[in-house]
Amino acid sequence: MPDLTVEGLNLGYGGATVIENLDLRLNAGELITILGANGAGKTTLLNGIMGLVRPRAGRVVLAGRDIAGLAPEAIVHRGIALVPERRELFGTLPVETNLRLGGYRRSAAEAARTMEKVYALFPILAERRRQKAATLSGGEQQMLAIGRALMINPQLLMLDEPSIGLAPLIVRDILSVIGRLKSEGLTILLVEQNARLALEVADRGYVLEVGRIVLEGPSKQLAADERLSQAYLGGSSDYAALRDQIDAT
Amino acid sequence: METALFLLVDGITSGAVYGLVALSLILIYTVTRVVNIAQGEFVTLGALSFASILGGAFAPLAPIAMAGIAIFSVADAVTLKADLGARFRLVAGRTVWIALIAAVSTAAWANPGSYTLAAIAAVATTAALGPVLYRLSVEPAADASPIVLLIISVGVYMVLHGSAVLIWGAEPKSVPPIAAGGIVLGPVFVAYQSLWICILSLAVMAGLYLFSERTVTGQAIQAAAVNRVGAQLCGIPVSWAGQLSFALSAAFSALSGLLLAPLVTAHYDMGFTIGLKGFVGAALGGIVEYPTALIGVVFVGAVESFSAYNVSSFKDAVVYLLVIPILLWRNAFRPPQEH
Amino acid sequence: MRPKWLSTGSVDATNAAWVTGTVVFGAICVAAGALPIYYVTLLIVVGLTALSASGLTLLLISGQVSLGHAAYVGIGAYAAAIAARDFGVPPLFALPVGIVCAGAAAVLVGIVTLRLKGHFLPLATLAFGIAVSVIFTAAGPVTGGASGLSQIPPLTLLPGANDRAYAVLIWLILLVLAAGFSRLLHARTGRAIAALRSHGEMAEVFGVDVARMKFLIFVIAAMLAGLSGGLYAFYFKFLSPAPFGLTASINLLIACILGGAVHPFGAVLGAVAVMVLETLLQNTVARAFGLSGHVEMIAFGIILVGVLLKWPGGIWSAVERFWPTFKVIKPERNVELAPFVRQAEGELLTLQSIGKNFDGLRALDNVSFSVRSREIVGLIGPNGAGKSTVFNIATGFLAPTDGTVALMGGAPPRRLSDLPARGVARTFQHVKLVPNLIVIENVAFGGFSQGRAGIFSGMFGLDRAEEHAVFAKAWRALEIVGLDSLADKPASDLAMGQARLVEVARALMSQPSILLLDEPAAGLRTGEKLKLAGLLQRLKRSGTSVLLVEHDMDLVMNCVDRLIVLDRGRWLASGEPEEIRKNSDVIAAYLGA
Repeated sequence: MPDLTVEGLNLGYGGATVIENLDLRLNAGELITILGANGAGKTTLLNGIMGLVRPRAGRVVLAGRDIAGLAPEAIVHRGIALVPERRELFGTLPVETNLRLGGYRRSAAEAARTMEKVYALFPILAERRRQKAATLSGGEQQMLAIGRALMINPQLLMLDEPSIGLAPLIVRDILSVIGRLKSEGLTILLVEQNARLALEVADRGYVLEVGRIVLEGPSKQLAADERLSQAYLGGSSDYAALRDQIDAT
Repeated sequence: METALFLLVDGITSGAVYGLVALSLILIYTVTRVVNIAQGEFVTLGALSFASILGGAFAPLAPIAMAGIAIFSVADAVTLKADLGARFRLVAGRTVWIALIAAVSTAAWANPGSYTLAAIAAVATTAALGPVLYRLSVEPAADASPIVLLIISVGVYMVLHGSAVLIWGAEPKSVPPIAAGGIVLGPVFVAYQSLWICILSLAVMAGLYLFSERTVTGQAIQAAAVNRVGAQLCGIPVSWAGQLSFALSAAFSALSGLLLAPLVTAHYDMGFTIGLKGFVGAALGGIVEYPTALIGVVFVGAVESFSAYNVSSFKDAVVYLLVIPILLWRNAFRPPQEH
Repeated sequence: MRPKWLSTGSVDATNAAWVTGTVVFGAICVAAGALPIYYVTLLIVVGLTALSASGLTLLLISGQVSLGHAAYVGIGAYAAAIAARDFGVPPLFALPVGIVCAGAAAVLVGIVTLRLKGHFLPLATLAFGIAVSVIFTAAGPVTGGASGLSQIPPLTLLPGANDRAYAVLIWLILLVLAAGFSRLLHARTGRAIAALRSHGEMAEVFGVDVARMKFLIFVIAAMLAGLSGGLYAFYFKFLSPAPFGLTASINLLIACILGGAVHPFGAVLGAVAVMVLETLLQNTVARAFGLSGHVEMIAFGIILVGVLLKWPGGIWSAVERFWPTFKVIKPERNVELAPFVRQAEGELLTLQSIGKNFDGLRALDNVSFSVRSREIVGLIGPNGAGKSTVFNIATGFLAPTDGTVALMGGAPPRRLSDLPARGVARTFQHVKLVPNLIVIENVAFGGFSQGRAGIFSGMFGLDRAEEHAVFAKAWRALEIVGLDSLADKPASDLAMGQARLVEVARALMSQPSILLLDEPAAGLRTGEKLKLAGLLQRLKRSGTSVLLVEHDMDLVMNCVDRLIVLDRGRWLASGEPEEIRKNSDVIAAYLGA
């Protein structure tokens, strides 16, 4: 299991810079979460590590080798898998084919074995194996996207907002699967808007704002942080206060 | 009755040729989302190459293809972010391809008059152009809208068309059939060439179908078109998929060109109308489903034959006019797949 | 007393179009007067090509395509020529005959091909184009066939007018239209046209009659081609089928795309570029190689491919940086929240025993609930429970298999474009913002149903007051959702959560009485969700009701008055948030422990 170190990473589109001079470290076997507001650059960061966006400067070092600038196919070959925000499934193809294609670089036998493991992890996918991916519900699609990434047998799994649009029950299921994967030794990078849940499973976290890291530390420390609570960890009391405020006007 | 059968056979033969072209169009479309206006030119290039190789010339397209591959190899080796070993392997692999092309061309050149070798050389050298064209004109435009991709392919058409005249001149060249003569099936005489056309076309179509639907590589290639990012995340080399589709597509069209050439003579203008009719057939059949495209092109071929016989000056008009009611009918009962 | 912000002119880009047009026109007048007659002919040909191309560009901007467009040029040409020569119609009146005939052909093609989906439509346009040109050749007695139609009387508007004046006339028409279309793109109809291209269904919801508008633009494009054809006929006084065939259609497309099918000036640029390139190649390459024809073709092809690879948006996208970007200046006064809602009383939405079947699957079964005025209702349940289906049935996107729906006092409108008039607005599960427009234009589009300005007003600036009002309101809507700082950004640059909030702002523009929101909180973090909750509360107090599909429990539990829980297409529970939170069925199926 490798370490991932990001040094001085610079990413952008067209004229704009989205990520500026970013440093990040992920130790083998850790689950790191990245929190941040909309537009902070979390998705761009993951895409940059994955090679979908070419870094303008900086290094991304995986197990001692700099992978910045490699094509996504090559990065997959090095053992990084991404579950993107929009899932990017093959909608017109059945579940089984989606999974099999995830194992494209594996031999048929290896792929078959990993597919069984994925079905064990997500039994509903086994039930729906011949259904076209586009006909699955949101939660099932998310499971398929994760399953497809697992077919790569990755050493590092990156997830971009896996809980968006999912029912609370499903979110718990997925987070428990993530926890299980972590306990099996998989290194995980989790970008998540549900900060409370993310900090529950993560070892450490980074907070990203406008392309820069503004806060980092062990998850317990972050959960207790004042500034963070306000922006990311609000609760019912905040809503009640809001209602009172509006009623008063 | 005899006339009708004769026209039917004629129609099926043309249909089979258009079918190969339609298949090529569909292949490129399914993988790259490009409607390849230049497709007909591969037919021309294949036919003309075949004619000159048979006549003793060294495959005219070979140097161009080899140069193209060589240039891209150097460019890739320089820009590739990898260690020396990987770069070396890349160049070595490409060199093998170049050597193959050279070998095939030389073999054909050393044996002038050998039908098989000439055919192989013509198809191989035309096919080798495919990936080069893909990398030059399609890959850099991956994010462009479909209509822009279409106009780019028009530009490619212009380059290929002009080049054909430049290399071979404007004179048509005659080409012998695979086997002269034919057999008599009932009241109708069927040329051997027609039979070969139908057999080979069907074989190619069947092979391609099996490849796309039954092998992982074939499905990976299709997946690259369904969702490019998703395919990249699976480690599917999308560029390679595009190149392969262009290579196969050029090969099929070249094959149809050299099959057709004995019937219509090889000349620089043969590609455009064939490409257009192939396109009509493919689109009628539903541009992503080739079993039905087969029906579409046979229909086009048949209609063309019959109307050529009856109202020759209007034959093209009839084909194109009939397209609209057919589209309406298909749209009502079997609409095109959404993508 | 005009407010100060009205006179600063909220947009520079539109003025630029007319200014540029005037300048170019001036140059053309000079050129037409000074250049040798050979170049004046070129000027005329380029102008005519650009005229046809401008219609085609408008068509492409609206997301449609016409692969046989030269056919309409031909129809206009032959109709005008035959009317003038064989029926004695004065050429000035024969021109409109040509235009009308081209338009009529387009109407026919449009009606016949209206239903075609996917790639069938382009194929039909291609087939039409080829068939028409073949008919021109075959219909000898009428059109003169391949040998052509000659002895066409000339068009003379003024006595003593010559070819040079003709060139000026053509360019006058062209530039007026191009500048007008340019301005149109940033006006009410232009926003709708942009929406047509990317999200037709969404455009319907905001009041655009999509089919009608697409049809209208198709016919306009054909009529412009017909005008160009008529002018061509009266200049050359001789017609043959050759310039109206497939090659001509493809050349038109090349001109459009090379110039940039994103802006009407692209058509002009493209036509000029093609002519310049052809002439240049003829003179240089032919002389250098002593060959002709095919070498020029190769060179042209290489240049065409090269330019498009570098600038897929055509030449226009390369020079666009010199063009003022569209911006809207923030108005000084504040529009109140009240105009964003429309008061209504009673039951605004009632679903009674709704059932829905999809291909034998029972997606919904016996679902009933209602939304009254001034309340926020949440619809929750597992993925696949049928919430989106309920939404779609409530707004008339789908018809229920069983049961009845009452929306704002009646059945859901037959046409989706009538929803805003009823006081209903919605957002979508997958973000549907128009990527080519900036954020504030996207929001302004939400006010489409309340505007009146049409194509003519949009082209010639008769809509200033209405546009300023719409943008003032759009600013306020953005402020309400807290995203006014993003007003000038292209919508494609937004993060998902931001885009959702912009959709809410857009939905407010039509002054809804009931607002249906599909997962508005997806991608928002806590601070942003709090703001959203506050917004919904304030809207409720001002008189709008909200029906909310949402998975985010923070928002749902703290912000809504009532909850409806669906599971597997059936009603599972309903009540106040506190009750639902403790309901064991809901916990088992949806919330988890």
